[in-house]
Amino acid sequence: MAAILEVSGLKKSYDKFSLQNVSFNIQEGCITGFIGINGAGKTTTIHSILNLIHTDAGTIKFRGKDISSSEKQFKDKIGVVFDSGCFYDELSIKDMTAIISPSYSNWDDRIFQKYLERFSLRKEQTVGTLSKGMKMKYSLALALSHNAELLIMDEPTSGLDPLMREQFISILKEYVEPGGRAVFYSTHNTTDLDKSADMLIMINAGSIVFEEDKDALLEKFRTVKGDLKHLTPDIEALMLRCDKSKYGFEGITDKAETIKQYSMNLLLERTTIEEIMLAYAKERG
Amino acid sequence: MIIPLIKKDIMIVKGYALCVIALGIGLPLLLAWRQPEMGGLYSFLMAVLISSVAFNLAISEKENKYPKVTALLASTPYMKSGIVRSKYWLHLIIYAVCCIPFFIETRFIPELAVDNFLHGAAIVFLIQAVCMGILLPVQFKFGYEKTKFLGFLIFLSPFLLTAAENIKLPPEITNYFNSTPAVLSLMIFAFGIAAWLISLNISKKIVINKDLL
Repeated sequence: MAAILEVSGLKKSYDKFSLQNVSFNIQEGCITGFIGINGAGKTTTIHSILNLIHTDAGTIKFRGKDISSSEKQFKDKIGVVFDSGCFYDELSIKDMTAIISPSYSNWDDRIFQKYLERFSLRKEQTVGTLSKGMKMKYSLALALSHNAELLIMDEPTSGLDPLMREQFISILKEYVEPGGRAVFYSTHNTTDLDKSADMLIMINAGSIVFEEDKDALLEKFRTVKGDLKHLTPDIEALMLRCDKSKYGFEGITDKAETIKQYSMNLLLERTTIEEIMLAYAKERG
Repeated sequence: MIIPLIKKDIMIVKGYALCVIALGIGLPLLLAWRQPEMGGLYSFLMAVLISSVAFNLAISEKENKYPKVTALLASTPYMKSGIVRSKYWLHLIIYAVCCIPFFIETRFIPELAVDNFLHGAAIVFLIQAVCMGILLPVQFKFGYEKTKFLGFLIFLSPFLLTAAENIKLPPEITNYFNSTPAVLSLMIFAFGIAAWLISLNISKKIVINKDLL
């Protein structure tokens, strides 16, 4: 797999937060989930990639080419979806589209019309009358109608009901299926990623924690449960996080085999992306 | 390429767009009727400046309400620079929208007549370029909230008109321009264009280095 987007050494400092040397790759043909708790740096990273904020350092390459020297071409090849509030409420879908669509060299009105029909949207509808889910669908229709090679989305599923989230995931899968395309989307709602993501990148406190294949990650980590009397300091040291109560303990580890050697009385289960994310977030404070 | 962005600015403040047209046509007529001593160039200048400031204020207020729309547009091939350029083009359009009706009106209403229309139009163009050329970068730098009342200072600019008219040039220069008045007017237009271009470049630099969200 080739990297469609390469982010390296991204830095951005604010008074109370900073992106610290953020580096990762987005692979072609993959849906990459960008996870992290609120305030971890997901949105700042996405805004940096889109050059909406001025970074202190770092390079971003799209298909091997530095986007600082080819920003227009880069933006012509990507579709962008923000979480909410990115349209003027007073304008109709037709008016809003008439503003955005001429910027793309490959805008395809037939594809756009097809998405509108699929999403039960009408061009005459005023944006302000659309529900949050409908606005998201409209955002998606805009992002998907100019043959974009990369979709970049910031918290696209926040506030959507389960049915809409499922529709959203199936659209993403359809989008990457022909090949040569990729999806990069941030979320703190990890249940969507269980169903959709191929790769996962986690950010915490402005630093990348991991960048891994989702299945490999889920294979590597285990939830460890057991009675407190079996929790030795050696075992506790092997866990990212360990919650104790009077009923026992529960933790997350990526060293399941070693833990098994210490004690046979512990229960090791498959874990979830959310538990892994929380374990890292808590471990690093 | 940036025409849709100019249309966007007009669409989001539709009411004001009509006001600009009404001002461009109506203000010189109103002043000629009620205050004939303020007719002529003053009325044209006021129409241009009031329209520019009011329109700019209305658009900025709307953009301030929907910051993510600007972010979305900057994420498209328009980029930040296109957004900035469209603002400058809009003010040139406002100038034209006020200039054309004023020119027609001067043909029919004696109170509005100016000795040399081209010269007057050039002076108004230069004053608009200087005033808005200062206001726009300041607004891009400090944002709508901090600069929303700054635009009203521009209404002091009729003094600039008086000052511009009172500039005394050396006789050899004035003699030359008296023989070729069109050249002087074109030079004033050129200074205006230079002011716009300098301001545009400053604004672009400010916005490119600015965090939109």
